[in-house]
Amino acid sequence: MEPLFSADIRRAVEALLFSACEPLKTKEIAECVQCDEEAVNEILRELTAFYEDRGFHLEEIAGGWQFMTAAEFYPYLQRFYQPKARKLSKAAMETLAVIAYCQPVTRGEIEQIRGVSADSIVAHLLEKGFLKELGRRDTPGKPVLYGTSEKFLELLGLKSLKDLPEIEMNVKEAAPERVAVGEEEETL
Amino acid sequence: MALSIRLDNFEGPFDLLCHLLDENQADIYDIPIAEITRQYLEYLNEMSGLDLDIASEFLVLAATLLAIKTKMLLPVSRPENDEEFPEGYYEDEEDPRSELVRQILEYKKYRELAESFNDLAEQRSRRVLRPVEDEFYVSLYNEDELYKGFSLEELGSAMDRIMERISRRDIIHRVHRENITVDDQIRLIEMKLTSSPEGLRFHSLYNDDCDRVRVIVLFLALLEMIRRDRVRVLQKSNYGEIMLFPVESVKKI
Repeated sequence: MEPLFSADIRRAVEALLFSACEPLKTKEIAECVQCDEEAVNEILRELTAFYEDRGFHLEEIAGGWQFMTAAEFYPYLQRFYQPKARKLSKAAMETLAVIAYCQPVTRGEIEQIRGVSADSIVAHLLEKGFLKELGRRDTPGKPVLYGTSEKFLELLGLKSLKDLPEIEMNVKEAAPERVAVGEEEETL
Repeated sequence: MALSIRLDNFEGPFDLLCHLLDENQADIYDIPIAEITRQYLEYLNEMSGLDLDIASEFLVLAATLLAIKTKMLLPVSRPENDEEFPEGYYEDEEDPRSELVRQILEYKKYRELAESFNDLAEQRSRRVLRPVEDEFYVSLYNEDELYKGFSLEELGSAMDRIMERISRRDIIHRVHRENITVDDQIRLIEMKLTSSPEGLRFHSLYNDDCDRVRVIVLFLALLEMIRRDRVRVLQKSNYGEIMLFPVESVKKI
């Protein structure tokens, strides 16, 4: 394959992104077009700006880049596609939330927080690809450690785990103080 | 009956508890434990009345609630010379509810996060991606080259490996239950005894293909015969051969 002229690299990246049906990492793109990652990043920035006010956008998602239609046109697309119901159950979402924020986490710890057995839900989420095993904890029983996968980030449309909604810390910190007040009343 | 519809929606004991707290507009830091426990147990009763399988987790929380309720009814005891011990020395001083409160808050936190996850997923699903086209990738392979670098011998040896692996798997044994009764074995021993009035060596009762059950039943049979006084057993020296004699022949001697 002939090396690309710099003007063609941008078009090649665009073609690559257009053809892909999963997020492409900068590194993968760079290898394909035989170009360094910094240059690819620059091209990606240009392309993002270029598609900003189009019907579809170039978005960073799950550690990669992908074209996605603009959300505002969803009602129109809906007329054409039969939207697939891929809503996760409440229990599954709760389990994902625990795992997303506590990872690496064991099944026992998930059960501790949710108060219910996590066996089948974890198995289901693993099968769906939203979780991955991160090895085993070096404690008795060597429990498997779970974490979220890139597919989980895709599900929520996040760039990375850093984009997770922030936990409201005030709830956690306020708790012991107010319990202490109740305590005094109790003992008096 | 409206109750049964709601029951199915509880994901777990904490979910139910949170629902009760909300419904009672209870202050989570000052849970009216007696009332909540009563309502919680009422729900469980309702569940069993509806023939729903109550998951053991629900019972665990019921037990916890009752334990807390009990603890709160007990007076807090502390010795006279209180100054000796620093504040908080006694475990009892802690509000029995505080661990539960911590758990509920923790649970609620993730329940709320799950809701924002749902919102994110909902927003995300409004943005459409190019569909996965498996056929497209399949067509990338040149059909003529699919079998390139591949020989019949290799296919044969791959098959051999599979067959070998299958044969190494556990072979299923059918285990027949042998019906051996003590009475049968008594008859067997008596038969052997009558054919050897000069005495029968204990070890000769057993042969190599006796299985465990036969060995045990045979021994039980022998014990039974001794009890019924239908055999004489002699051992001349310690660890020596044990000899069995028919009762009649001993009498003759």
